[in-house]
Amino acid sequence: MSGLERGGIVTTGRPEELLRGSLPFLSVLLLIGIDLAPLPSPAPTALSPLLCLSAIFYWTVHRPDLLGNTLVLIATVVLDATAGLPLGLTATALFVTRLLLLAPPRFFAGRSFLVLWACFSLAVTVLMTLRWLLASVYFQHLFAFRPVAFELLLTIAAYPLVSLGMARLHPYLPKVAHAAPRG
Amino acid sequence: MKFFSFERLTVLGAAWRAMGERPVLVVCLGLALVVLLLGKLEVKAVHKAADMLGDQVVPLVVLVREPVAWSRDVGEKVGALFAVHAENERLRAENRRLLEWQAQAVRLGVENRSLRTMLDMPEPAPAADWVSARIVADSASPFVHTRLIDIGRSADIAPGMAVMTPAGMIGRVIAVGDRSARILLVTDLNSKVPVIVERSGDQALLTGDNSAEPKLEFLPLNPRFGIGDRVMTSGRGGVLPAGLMIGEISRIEGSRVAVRPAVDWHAVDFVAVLRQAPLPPPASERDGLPFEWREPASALSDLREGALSFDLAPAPAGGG
Repeated sequence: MSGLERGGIVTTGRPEELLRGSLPFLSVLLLIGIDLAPLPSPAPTALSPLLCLSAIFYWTVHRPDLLGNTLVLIATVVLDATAGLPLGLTATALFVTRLLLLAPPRFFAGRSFLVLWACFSLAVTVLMTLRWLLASVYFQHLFAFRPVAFELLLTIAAYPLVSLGMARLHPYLPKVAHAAPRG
Repeated sequence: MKFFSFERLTVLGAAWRAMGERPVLVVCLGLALVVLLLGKLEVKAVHKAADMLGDQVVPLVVLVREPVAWSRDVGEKVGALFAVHAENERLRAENRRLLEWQAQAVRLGVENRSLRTMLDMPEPAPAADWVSARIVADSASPFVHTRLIDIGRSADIAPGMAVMTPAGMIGRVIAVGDRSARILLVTDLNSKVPVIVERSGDQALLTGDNSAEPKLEFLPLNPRFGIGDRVMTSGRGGVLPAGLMIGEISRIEGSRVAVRPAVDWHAVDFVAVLRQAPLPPPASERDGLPFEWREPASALSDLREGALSFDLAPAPAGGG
């Protein structure tokens, strides 16, 4: 095969291949757009699930070769910039969570959906708590935890729906040649 | 191989990945931390980057927003069908009330003009020019209360301008990109607006605390206001115009006085940004101007009535 190996994916370097390989990243960007869409709410800021976190977890588990840390960094910076949050807030919380809960890809192989959901619940709880702590330090104000907890519960509840949507993308993704490292 | 090609990108990507997972993760964490710290240190480049990213993301957010807004509208319309009779009655009552107010406003306007003439008072500042904008993104977090709108520097928007809804002021512009701007809501932790209580004339500072009801601070020693009194911008500091409706006092618990914004958060889709009229140059400098100075309000009315016209003949070609 004349194509090059890109982190385990056999790719010919054609734009079409690149586009197929970018689907997970594009799906995360799309969910960021949905997360930020203004929703009707009696309060100034509607609390809603952070769907993009579900997508990031999903692709980290199922196709880590297509959504490496660099793309996650870009996506979370886009989220922070659009939401008006300090740039790097979500990324810092997310990467610290990854460092704390780093599990090899084989840990997730063959696990049932319920186990993955439980893993996501744990990861997102750590992430949102860290994000709340970081925001409190950054703004020098102890924010109430209740809205964060509500946002967390919504995010956990929305995971099955997001994973169902992401699973539909698998037929369009490039084939995996062998187990790939993340990066 | 060209300098920028898919093959080269692929090779670079492979080299980056070859570092292994943990080192790349640590590098990314370091980058995120550095950006976070630079933002905290108020480094301008970080804020500019955020504004620029906001500009780039607006089309994506608008694209996603449309189906969401459409489904919401359909839901609201179906709901409205069931409540059409009650809504009709409510609108009739409101119309009657507004007609009474209109008559009173006209009478007060005439009285105000005659009193100003008798006291030889200067004309009030010209009304601010405004431009409509659509809200395209929420802050989606409990830490900041901001909104992203779809107009920016290209529409002459600048930081500090007041942002209004039909019910009252919602916030002010804090950051501007070319095609987008960020509004800080009056409920945000960092929002501070000089206000006046309409009935008592007490001045205070409306301070957001990320709750739905911001509080009044720096109150006079013996305030005379009560629950239900209306709160408006005082215009102190010169950043915001005076008299913009904000809300009414909803609770007084000891030293905490809460204000409920008049804004119907449920229906905030479009807003108006008040572009303040430019301050006139001092009279002593007007003679030296290369054109005849006109008050913005009078120039605008002349333009509407056709008394002021522009020569739109094409400029002579060549030159330079």
